[in-house]
Formats: sequence, C-alpha cells, structure tokens
Amino acid sequence: MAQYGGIGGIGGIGGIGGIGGIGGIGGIGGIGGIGGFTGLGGFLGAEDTGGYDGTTTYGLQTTADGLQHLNSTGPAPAGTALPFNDTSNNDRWASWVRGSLYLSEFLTCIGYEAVKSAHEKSVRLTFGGDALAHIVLPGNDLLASQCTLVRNYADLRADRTAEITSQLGFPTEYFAMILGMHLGQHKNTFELITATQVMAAHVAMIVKHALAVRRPDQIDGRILPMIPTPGHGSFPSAHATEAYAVATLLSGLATEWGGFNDLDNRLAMLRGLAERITVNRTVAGVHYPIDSWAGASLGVALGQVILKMCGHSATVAQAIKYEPADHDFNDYDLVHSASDKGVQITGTVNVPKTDHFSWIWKKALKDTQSV
Amino acid sequence: MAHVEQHCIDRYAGPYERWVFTKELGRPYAFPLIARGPSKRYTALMEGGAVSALNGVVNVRVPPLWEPDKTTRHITPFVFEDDAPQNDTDAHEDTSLARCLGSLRTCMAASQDAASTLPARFRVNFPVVDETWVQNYDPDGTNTSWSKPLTQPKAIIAVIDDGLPFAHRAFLDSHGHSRMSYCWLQSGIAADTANVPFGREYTNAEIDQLRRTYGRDETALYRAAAAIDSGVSELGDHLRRSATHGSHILGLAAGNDSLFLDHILGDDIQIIAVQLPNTIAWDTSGFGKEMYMLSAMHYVFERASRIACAFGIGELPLILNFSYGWSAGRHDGASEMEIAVRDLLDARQAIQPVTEIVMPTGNNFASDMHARMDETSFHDHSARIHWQIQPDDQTSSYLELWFPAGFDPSDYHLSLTPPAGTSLDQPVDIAFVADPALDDDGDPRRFVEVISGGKIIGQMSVDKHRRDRWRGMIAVIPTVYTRHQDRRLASGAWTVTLSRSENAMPLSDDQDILIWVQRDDDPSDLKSNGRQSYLVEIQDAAVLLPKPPQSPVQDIPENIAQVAGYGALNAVASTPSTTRVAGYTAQTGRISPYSGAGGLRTRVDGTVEVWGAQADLTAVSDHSPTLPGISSIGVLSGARARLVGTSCAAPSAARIMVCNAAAGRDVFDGFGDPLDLYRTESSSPSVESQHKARVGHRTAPPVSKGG
Repeated sequence: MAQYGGIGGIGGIGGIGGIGGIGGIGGIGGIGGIGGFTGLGGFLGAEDTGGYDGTTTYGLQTTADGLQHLNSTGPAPAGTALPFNDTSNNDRWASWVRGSLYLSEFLTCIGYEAVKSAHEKSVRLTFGGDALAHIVLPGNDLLASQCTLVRNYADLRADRTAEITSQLGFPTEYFAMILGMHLGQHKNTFELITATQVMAAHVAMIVKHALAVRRPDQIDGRILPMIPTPGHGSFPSAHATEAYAVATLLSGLATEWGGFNDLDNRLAMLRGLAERITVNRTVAGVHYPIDSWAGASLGVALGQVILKMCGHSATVAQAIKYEPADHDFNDYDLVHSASDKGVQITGTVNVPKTDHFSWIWKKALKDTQSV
Repeated sequence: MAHVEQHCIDRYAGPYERWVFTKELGRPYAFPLIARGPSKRYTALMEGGAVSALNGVVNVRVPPLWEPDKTTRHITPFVFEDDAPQNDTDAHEDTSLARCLGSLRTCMAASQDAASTLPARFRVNFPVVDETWVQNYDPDGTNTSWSKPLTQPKAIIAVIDDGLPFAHRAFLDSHGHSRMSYCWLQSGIAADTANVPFGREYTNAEIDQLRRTYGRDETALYRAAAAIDSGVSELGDHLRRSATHGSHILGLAAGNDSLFLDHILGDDIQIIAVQLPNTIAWDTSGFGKEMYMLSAMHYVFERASRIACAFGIGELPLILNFSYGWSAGRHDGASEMEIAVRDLLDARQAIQPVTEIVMPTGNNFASDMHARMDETSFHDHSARIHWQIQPDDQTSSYLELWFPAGFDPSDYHLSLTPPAGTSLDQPVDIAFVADPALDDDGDPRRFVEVISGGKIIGQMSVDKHRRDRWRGMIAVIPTVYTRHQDRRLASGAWTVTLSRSENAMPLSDDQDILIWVQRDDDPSDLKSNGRQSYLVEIQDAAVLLPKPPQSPVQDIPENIAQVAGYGALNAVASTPSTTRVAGYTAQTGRISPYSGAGGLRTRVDGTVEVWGAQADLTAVSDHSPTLPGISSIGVLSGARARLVGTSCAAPSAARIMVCNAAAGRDVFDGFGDPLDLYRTESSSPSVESQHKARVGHRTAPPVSKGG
C-alpha cells in the first residue's frame, strides 16, 4: 500500500481549467511560455509543476517506502521564514503565479465605464482614476463601408497565410526574431512580454464587450475569412492592442539595454512588425481597419502605462481618444497623421512604479545583448 | 432562342473583339473592367492611317511616340474618348461602342495610307480606368523634374512588366541617387498634368524625393506615390505583396544586389521602366493588351532619346526586356503586334545598332497547347483533334487554327462536337468563306454561334487575317455557372473537325495547319480562376496497344507527335530580330522542361525541318531539378523571391547584354556555346533538330547566385 497519495494525488496539468476552447487556443488555461495562446493562456499553467505520469508517481511512492527506514524518527527541525510580502520571493514562484501578481497590480488600477449619450456610445477607460482611453462606437454605415477595404485586403491572403495562421495567438516569436531573443538568455524579457500581452488582451476584451461590434464577415458575406471568426467583438483589434503594446514596451526596453549597434533599424522593425501583425488580421478577414486604429492607439497607451509601472521614468503615458472614421490603417499614418484619422492625445496618465513590474523590468534589463 | 443582335456585332472586325465586347457572347466573362462596362475611354491600335482622322468623332489621345524621323510608324497606339452621353444600361453598351466604331471606320476610309496594302484599320483594346486618366495631357512637354545623372550613361536597360518596385534600393547608383530615369505606371493614379496620357510617370528626381520623404517605410512611399490603391483594380495592392513578377524581372535585369555580384550595373547604365496594368495577365484571350504594350515600347524609346539628348549625344545602346506574351497567334511575324515591334526595332537599329528587345520563349512546351496537322492527318476528308476543356474553368477558352499563308481553304469547313453525353441544339459548322453581309473594310470573315439548350456557349469564326492568311477560331464560355449567367459549357473532350470536299485543294508536302490554344491559367494569382485547356491527339485503337518499353532516361523521342511543344513559342516573341530566350537548369545544364521551343515539322520522308521563329539562346530559369526557379529581389528592399519560368531567363540575358553594351563589348560577349545534348539522350538527326529548337545558338552564364 502506497503511503503518499498514489496516482492522481497532485493536480492535473495546466493549473486552472486545463485546455480550453477549441483545440486549446483562446480559452483560459493551456500551457504557457512562448506563443500559441491568447487570453490568459499565456500565463496560467506556465511552470506549473503538474503531476507525474502514473508509473513515476507509483515508483516514487514505492521508493519512498523503501527509503523511509533510513530517516531518523522524531520531530522535524524548525526552518526560517521567507521574507514577508517581498518581491525577493518572486524567483521562487512559478511564472504563472507571478502572472497573477502582474495581473493584480495592473487590473486594480483599471476602470471602465460604458457611456451612452445622445450623440455617441463609447467606452471610457481609466488608470488609477486618470483618463486612459476614450473609444467611440463606430456606426453601421461606417462598418459597411469598411467591408470594402477588408475585401480588398483578401488579395494578400496567399502571401500572408503562414504569418496569419502562426499569429493566431501571441506572436512572440516574431518579436524575438527582431531582437535576437531566445529562452535561454531572455526568460525575463519573455515574461514581461507575456505580462504585457495579457494585460493588453484584458483591456481590449473589456472594450470589445461593451461596444459589441459585429465582425466584418457577419456584415458582408463576401469576406469569407481564412481563419475562424473569433468569439469576441471586432472593435478594437486585440491583436493590434497587444502588438503595439509589446512594440512600445520593447522599444523602451531595447533602448535601455543600449546593447545594439543598429538599434534604430531594430526599433523601426518593431513598429513595422506591429503594423504587419495588425494588418494581417484584416487580410485574414476578421478585422476592419478601424479596429486596427482603435487597437493600435490603445496598445501604444497601454505599452506606455506598463513602461511606467516598470519604473521607466523617461516614458510619458498619454491618454487617447479614438473616434472612428473611414480610413485604411497603416503605421505611417499612425505616426504622422493620426489626428486626421480620428486619434487624439487627450492628456497624460499618472502611473506609479509598481513592485512586481519593476521587479521583472530590472531582471529584463539584464537580458541585454551588449553587442 | 438566343441570338445576337446583328446591327451591333457586325461592327467588330475581329473575332476576339466580337466575343469580348458582346453581351450575349463572352463579355460577361471578360476582364472585369470590360464585363462591368460601360467605359468612356478605350485603348486602340491604328494601322495604315492617321489617328487624327478620328478627331471630330471621338477625342483622340496619342501616347509619347518615338518618331526620330518625324514619320509615323505603320501602327500607332492611341486612346479614344467618347464624349457622347453614356448609356448606363448594359443592354445597350455593345451597341453604343459598336456604333462608335462604325462611325470611326467610316471616317477612316478617307485617311487611307497610300502605301498600305490593307485598308486603314484599327483594333479596340481594353478600356482605360477613370482614375488613371490625365486631365491635362502635355505630350511634348519635358518633365522638368528629371535630373541629369552625374555619370554620362553608356547604355540603357529598360523593363516592361507589372508590379514594379521603382523605389527599391537595388536601383540606386553609387551616390545614392536612383538610376531609374523614367518610370511610367500605366495604371497609376493620374496627376492633373502629365507628359503621359494616362497613368503616372515618375522621374529619377521624384523617386529620390520620395525616398527622402518616406525614408525606410517603402510601403508608405508607394502608397503616397499612388502606386498602391486597392480601389483601382488595375493597380491594386500588388506592391504590398512580398514579390511580384515585375519585382523579380526588374531586379534581374537592372538591380544591384548581393545576388548578382558577377554582373554589377555601373552608374553609366540608366533604367527606364513601364508598369503595365497589374491585371494585364488576367484576361486569357491574348486580346486587348497590344496598345499598352506598344505604347510602353514607344515610351522607352522616346525617353531613351531624351536622356541621350540631355547629354548631347546620339541614341544610346538600349536593351529592352519584356517578359510577357501569349500563346496563340500567327507566329509568322505578320500579326499587328509583331509588325509593330519589328517596325520600331528596325528603325532604332538603323540609328543605334545596339538596340535589342529580349523576350522569353514561353513556358508552354509541355502543356499540349500546340498541334500540327498535315496532309497525312486527313482521313475520309477530315482531320480531327480533341480539345480538352477542364471543369471549374471560370474564364473563356480559345483555340486558333491557321492555314498556311496564301492557302485558299474555301472548300474546307470547321465543326465542333461536344463531349459524349452532351449535345448542341444543332450541329455547328462553319465554312472558310467570307460572309457577304460583312462586306466592309475589315478582314473577310464569318461567324456562327454555338448553342446548347437555347443558350449561346461559344462562337466559331473564320477570318482571312490581314487578308493573307485564313484562321479558324473557337471561343467558348466557362465550364461553371459564373458571373450570374445561366449558361455554361460542358467540360470534357470537345472534338474539333476540319472537313473538306472531295475536290478540295490538298495540303502540299511543305504545308501545315497549325493549332494553338490560348493560355488560361493564373500564374500571378490574379484570381481569374482560369484552367488551362489542351489538345489531345485522337489515336486509333492500334496505337493504344501495349508497346515495347521506351528508354527510361531518354526524354526526346525520335518521332514528333501531332501535339508537341515545337512551335508552342511566345506569339509576341516571334517578331523577327527580337532576342528569344529559353530557360535551362543551372545544375544539370539541361533545358527546363517547360521552356518554349521553335517550330519543327516532320516532312513526308520522315526528316525534320524547322519553321518559324526559333529560340536564340538559353539562360538559367531553374537552379536545380529540386529547386525550381531562380532568386531575385522582392518588392521591398532586402526581400528575396523565387520565380520559375523563361520570364526570368530573359532578364538574366538582358542584364549581361547591357553590361556588355556599356563596356563597348559585343552584347553577347561571355555567352557560351549552345547547351550540349544531355548525356543520356541518344543522338540522331531528329533528336539533334529537336534539341536545337529548344536551346538556340548560345548560352548565358548564370546571373543569380541564390540557390
């Protein structure tokens, strides 16, 4: 008879929820690490010890039985306490546990309100009570008009299929390519990226829920997307929010690294990548260009907030307002003429440095390439 | 019962025009711009007459023409604009265009060129899109934005293609200035005032300014240059693709990149480029593109003169690469396009001998798109062949059958039989005799509709093309219900039968009837959803009995079959004195399996002789049997792409030729002997002839280093 638990005693693989949704993509749970999952899946389960296979579990127990006679009897010796409520413990925790810490730090500051006035419906997001983003619901005529652009982009599907299908989840590999990152050297940077993606996705989902915009293929039967119609609203694009938040974060981090001799080129490519990930969703047929405008401007704002939470004092976190208008999306316009396209900078957001983000930031700073 | 309104269609001189522009026939399936009609402006070619004669009936606009001696070339590309109120109901569009053409042709009778053996005539081509129409066209104006290059040019490389990344860094000189002196985007969105009649022209200085303004964001640059616009179908998002046909070809011919280090183009080689409408390859008829192509050639020649003039020197050596073409046509140098190209080339070579137009031989060698019939093909007074038309073909399919020039086939007639299990309302048959009702200035011709279930599914025609060579043509609709039409063609093996009366003149030993089908696939992913039809020899049962095994390593058979690739040559490249480039596989030194070949015929005594245009040389079109295609640049600076086909063999040769020209060497300096017969082939006179028809006289060394 086994003394300890036997088979199945210690949790299942994947922590909360196991594998969710269709094929593990997009639900809560799943296995963390790089890519492949959206929503909370990026963290939950990451580094969770899970359980052993049945044979090993049984073998451990019979071995324990066989070794117990070598132990002394009597009480166990007392240990020392770990530091109380201290980030110095963070290294001990599995990354999914730290994920909960980042999430808590971030979400306790986020507020949102769905506002319905005589002339517009919108969502107002706040951070620590300061206005962060004000996103106005697009009208039905505008959505119908944007369907033309979505259909036009379908021409590029053959060109972009590999990108689109491998970017269904968080496209971290694509950012890794630009900064020469790998898991051995950049574990902390990846964790910070994941934290950013998860926060950005959370905020995007709040706005999507409130504004509840139908997907383009649900308006126009000619769009026929090449990937499943996502189970959330169209506006804003969470991919755009995440990609621009990550690009903003990594631009700050890579600059702080001071480790690239060709930093300017890499910063340009980070922006180019955020644009490409964003536009690829329109090519796929699941997003209007206005979704990209809303997502990209929200993502930049969130990236700045996270940099501030990390303690990056050079960053100014700016609040935005987006009133959708019938324009195609591209990064050049986002940089040079966003105000003509409906994006306004409405103020600055006061964001204090927080314990856990600044902890991981400090570690990520050591991931520098020092070329 | 379906019928075609006679007052409408008899104004169309040629079978392709009639098919493509007539609603009851092929128009619903035509190039979308034609299908959706009506259009206000059309491109066209005038032959043997003065375009100015048409003024008064329509507004005429002539593109920049190269006329060094101030004499008009025999064939003139032009655009006409019908100011008459547009009738927006499509039921009358054919009629309005037809009436317009009728008026034009009447007034042209007065403009007859005395030297011409043919009446003055014109062919209508594709419409011009509104967004590309220049409001204030200044043909003689000099674009003051062109900047004189720091280095005096010694040669010019020109490229006509689609999707051209004109601001790519591969085209910068050693000072960082663009070597792209002039670039005409024929489907570019027009500026208010321009030196081109439609589209957009960019000069070197404008390209440099765009590069300074947009820095590294080349997609933003092309967007700002109105070279990307998804709302304009002929322009579209092609420059957002990772690669285009044109990016690959332009890079190979004129770009400097680490791929091409053995043949670097110096600052003394300027570039002129013309971007055809990006969708030009969509239409499968081979019809409607000549004006764009010919005006592109004129533009290249004309702008080359301007460059030379700015330096106060005579015409510069010019190598023009044009990796484009179609499959069906006369193949004897006497079609409108062939005549026009030859005319231009001859005139410039008289002034500057180093003037070459380099074209690919085509990729249809193994596609069963060409057949030859001779006297032995006739049994019981008829010769038959199968035309296999594939299911799910969403475009029209076309077959052309050509008698020898000068042959009188008045006792011959052509018929079409549907695949087993389907039927026509009545047997369809057409005699090679002109319809007296079509007694006008066009070629002698006759038409008959192919009708099934009361609906028109095809058109058969005969015409004495340019009054010296009879052609039979069959055009059929798609094999699926598409474009909201309630008719379709049955897919399968259609039988084309050429019959003759007992007393008909037989073919002599040196005469053949030649058949080609038009290209009908979609290599550039333009979403035409065409499928390639092909020819199948009808063999008797004895031929199908088991035969002794053939050599497993010998590709070239001793006997040339009725359906074979010899003569399946790019029908535009058959112009005399163009340089025709076939493709070979670098690693094996073997001709690429698809590479188009010159014409061969088997004499009655079994020996083989050549006819028509032949391949001049081969250049690499495949890296190895397992790595098809060769590398060149993509659309954005730094991107790479592979392309398979003789399209990339031609610019490989053109690149070396222009380097030689700039260095004052013979243009073919450094080219090797023709490829050897592959070692596993057994030599014989027939095999040697077949080999030669594919490899030509010389071999270009590899240009692209990318494996």
